[in-house]
Amino acid sequence: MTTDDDAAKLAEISRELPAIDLDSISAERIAMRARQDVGRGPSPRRFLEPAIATVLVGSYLVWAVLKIVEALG
Amino acid sequence: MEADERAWVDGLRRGDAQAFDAVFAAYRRRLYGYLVRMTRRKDAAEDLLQEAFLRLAQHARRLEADTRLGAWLFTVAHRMFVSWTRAQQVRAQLAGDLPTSEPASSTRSPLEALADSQAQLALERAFAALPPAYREVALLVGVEGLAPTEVAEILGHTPEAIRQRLARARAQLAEALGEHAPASWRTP
Repeated sequence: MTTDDDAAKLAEISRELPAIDLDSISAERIAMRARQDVGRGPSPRRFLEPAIATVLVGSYLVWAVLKIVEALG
Repeated sequence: MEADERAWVDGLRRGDAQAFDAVFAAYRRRLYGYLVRMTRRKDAAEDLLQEAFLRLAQHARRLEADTRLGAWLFTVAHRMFVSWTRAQQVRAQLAGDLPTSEPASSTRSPLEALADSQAQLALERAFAALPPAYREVALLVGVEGLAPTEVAEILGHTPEAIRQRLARARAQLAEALGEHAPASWRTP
């Protein structure tokens, strides 16, 4: 059996699957939420966590280097 | 690419909310159906659907002019399903429970409750019993009507791998359906 045959037979039987849809309230809620972001780009909040982690790790490294210099000096 | 879709992509690239509404209306049922049948949970499918359309909204201005929205959205939905599955497995392991691939099928799932007849119920159960990798290919090709080569791009596999999964999915469905299989499936 070829790939086209498999695809055709799957399409044939899939037509019998019951239809599934969201309820209209949930659909409208999702659409409204996403619509607000159209063309805005990703939220700046996504950069907040890595920025905080970078500052904390950087501060710790500076502190550790200063301590090593202090111990050697 | 259809004219409608080209206009929607142009609209999205301009940040037009009406274009987004048109895309949402055209694709929400398809994506939701795919996500429900993959996660087998309506709440999870709803969350992933929202995330997929949020990604589209946030990515709108960076879409290429020749973007095929269906393929783009199903690619995002597929990646979200993969992440969701991993998160579920980690959660199950942290809870000291071995991850189970599928919920028990002794009772009717919300998805199965939609079935109007024994044949539909048998079909829904047969799809649910497929391994996720086969089910995904069967849904994208059979229900969504995507070409196997397009599905290969969406899932990030070779066309040959998709062809194999398609053949195995069909064979397993035929076996699971038994007497409920269409007559054309039962003839050699």
